[in-house]
Amino acid sequence: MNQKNMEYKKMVDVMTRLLDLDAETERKVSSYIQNTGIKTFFLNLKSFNLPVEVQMKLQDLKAVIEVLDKDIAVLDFNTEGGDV
Amino acid sequence: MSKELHHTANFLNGLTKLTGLSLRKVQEYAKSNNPFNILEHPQVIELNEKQLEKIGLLNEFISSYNLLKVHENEDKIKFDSSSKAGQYFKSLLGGMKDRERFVIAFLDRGNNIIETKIMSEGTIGQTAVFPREILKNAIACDCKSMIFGHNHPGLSPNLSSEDIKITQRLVNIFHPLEIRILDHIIVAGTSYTSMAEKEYIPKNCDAIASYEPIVIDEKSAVEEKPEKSEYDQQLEMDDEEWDLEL
Repeated sequence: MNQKNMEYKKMVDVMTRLLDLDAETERKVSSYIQNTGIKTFFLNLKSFNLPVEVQMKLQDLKAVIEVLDKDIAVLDFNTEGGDV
Repeated sequence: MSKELHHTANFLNGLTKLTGLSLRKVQEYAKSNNPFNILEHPQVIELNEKQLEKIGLLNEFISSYNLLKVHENEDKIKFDSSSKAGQYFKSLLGGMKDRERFVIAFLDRGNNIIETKIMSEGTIGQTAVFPREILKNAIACDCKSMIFGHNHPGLSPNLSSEDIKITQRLVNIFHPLEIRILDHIIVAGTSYTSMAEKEYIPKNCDAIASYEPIVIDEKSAVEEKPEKSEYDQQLEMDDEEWDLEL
């Protein structure tokens, strides 16, 4: 497992504990993030097949990180279309 | 509201929902202090053990997120097979159940993603695609090839005649510019269909380029082409098939 994949695994584990995700949601989130990348994942939360309550928790998480990440923050004001 | 205030308000809301801290207390603190202090020095506000643990996890997440962004910039997602492209678009569009969305991954010479953009979003069974917009984005990022993806909210995995027509229309525009269309992935819930695997990706122009908007419709499925044996299994396409220019 390369360093990037190890970091993905670590991050999903932290997200699982932070957001109290169940095993099935953890598996899905892990797969989505590894397939699309972390930035694309947070920019398109509503596109992924996740329960609404999980999407809301992820939106809360996005709200925290977007103040630290201009790429996501700028796009937050242009959610209709635009970058993925 | 300014962007900064908007983000600060969102940050405080997100922080309190994730950690269980009182919004009132956090807002009060943020009136005369930097709200990020709460993450760095949680003891600046009154909190219990569980809230402290959640803040610790949030800090771990932020570190991990920042590290992964660096890794992803250095090691971009590379589409070296139709199955990898299928997994990518399936992840990205699998949850879109109430409308059609048309997305394009713009790729460099090595089939690494330069960027992925939502090009249009429509109703449950239909969306319109604007070739001029695609052209504008393709030129702006200097891509060498593209992969299209869109979802069928009705969950039909079959290609529609519009899916094929739109691909041909876009080949008519991009083939003369030497920008290749490698695949068009149709996502239906948890499954996907790759037009490249089905050999429906046109290799040449069949008409003069037209820039009129194109409507794609989930209806009017086409009959399956008899598949070649090598496509019977979900085999990875090798570099030669997508003609990597490394």
